[in-house]
Amino acid sequence: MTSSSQPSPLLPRSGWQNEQALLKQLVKAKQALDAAELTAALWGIRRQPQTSSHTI
Amino acid sequence: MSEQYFRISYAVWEITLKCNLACSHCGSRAGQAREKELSTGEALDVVRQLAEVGIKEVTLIGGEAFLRPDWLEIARAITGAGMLCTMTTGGYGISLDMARRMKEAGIGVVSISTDGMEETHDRLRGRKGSWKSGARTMSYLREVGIPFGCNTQINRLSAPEMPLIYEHIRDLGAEAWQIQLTVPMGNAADNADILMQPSELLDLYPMLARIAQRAEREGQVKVRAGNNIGYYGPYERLLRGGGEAWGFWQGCNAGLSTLGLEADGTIKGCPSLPTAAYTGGNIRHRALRDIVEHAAELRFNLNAGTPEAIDSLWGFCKTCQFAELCRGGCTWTAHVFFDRRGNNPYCHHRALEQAKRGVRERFYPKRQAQGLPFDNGEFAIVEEPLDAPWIEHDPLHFTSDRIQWSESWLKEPELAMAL
Repeated sequence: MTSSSQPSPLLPRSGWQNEQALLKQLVKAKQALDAAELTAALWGIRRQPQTSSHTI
Repeated sequence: MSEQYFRISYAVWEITLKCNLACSHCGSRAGQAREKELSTGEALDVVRQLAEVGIKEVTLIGGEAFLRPDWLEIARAITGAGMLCTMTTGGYGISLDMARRMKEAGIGVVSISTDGMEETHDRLRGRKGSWKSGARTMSYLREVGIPFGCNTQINRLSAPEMPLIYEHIRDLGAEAWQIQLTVPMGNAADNADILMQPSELLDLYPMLARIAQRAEREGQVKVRAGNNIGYYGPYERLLRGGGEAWGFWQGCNAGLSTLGLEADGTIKGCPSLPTAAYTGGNIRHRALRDIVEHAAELRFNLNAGTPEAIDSLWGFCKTCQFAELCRGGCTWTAHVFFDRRGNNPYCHHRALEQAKRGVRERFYPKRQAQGLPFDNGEFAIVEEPLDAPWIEHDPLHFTSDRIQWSESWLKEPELAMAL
């Protein structure tokens, strides 16, 4: 039996009132990241870290 | 720190603004205690209210939290109320005896600020000896069995040293490393020359990713991307989600799973948010439950997925393919640049997209901050050709050839191949 005088917690709460809309955005972002990572793996991004120039 | 621990709801509580350091990037301009900091009795009542609204973890910060005489009493009360009590500290002046008392009080995890190697850290923290003191604190925590991590502000002074910092904190036994970009709030707003320029992110992120990749391989230090790291570039999931498929930025959590408390009882949705624009109320005048439930300043993230949420975006962020989910990234970061949220210049995806167009962005100060805790000024942003010569008289300009890699990094595989 739980005490009825204990107020229910407010946090955490979701900013999204529409779960379907959130899922749609998550899938869209995931697909874009999959593509970005693949592109980076295939072509390298604009610049690579220079490991040799300032080795100490 | 348990590998199974997932943060559910989290309050960051500045219990005093008194501080023994004088950091040139301090957002709260800490030093002296606030005029009317909460009494012990009031603080203990806050603990009760935090537990009641559903907070599961409380991080004590300052200023320097341990400069408040009753801080361990507050820590004990937090633990006693069933919440995890953690602490973020500059680590200057913690003795072995204090570390033992922290353990007894139930402090579960400590994060020590480490903003560079010795010279840079002491310069940024405004006190010689603070780096060595931080390292001693880590050894004491290790001795008494309190798991600890480090947190590092990334700016033009610390950025070149990030690979060395990683090795330093790893060797001292850190289990986690939270990294966060320095943004123009408080003292940092007055020292804008140390802030990374948006186009410099193009050289910063490959370095951070390379470090994260090594940390992942070595398995000791968990790199944790702060809220203004990322977003949606090719390293996002490596940096934020440890490579997990769904581990990417999903919008600001201020007022949703996070609360911020100032030492005088001011309540915000996130500890970093500017006080003037984001105070929902004061615990002395209003119950925490009432503030969380009704204050507009803690409810601005509750409209995700609605036209209103998109309407609050502007500039690049309004046009972005990730606009609905991202909602302008970290609210704090966007707001302190432009005195208004919704357009975030510290975005890796944005810097990459601009570079594809042959453009780079640069900000410059337009209006000074007033000089209050958690205040901000205002910056303007300009677009320039990506290959234009860099502005003159900018000695701190960050490029990849400034990065200090020790010899041990030569064995680390090239990043693009690993992705």
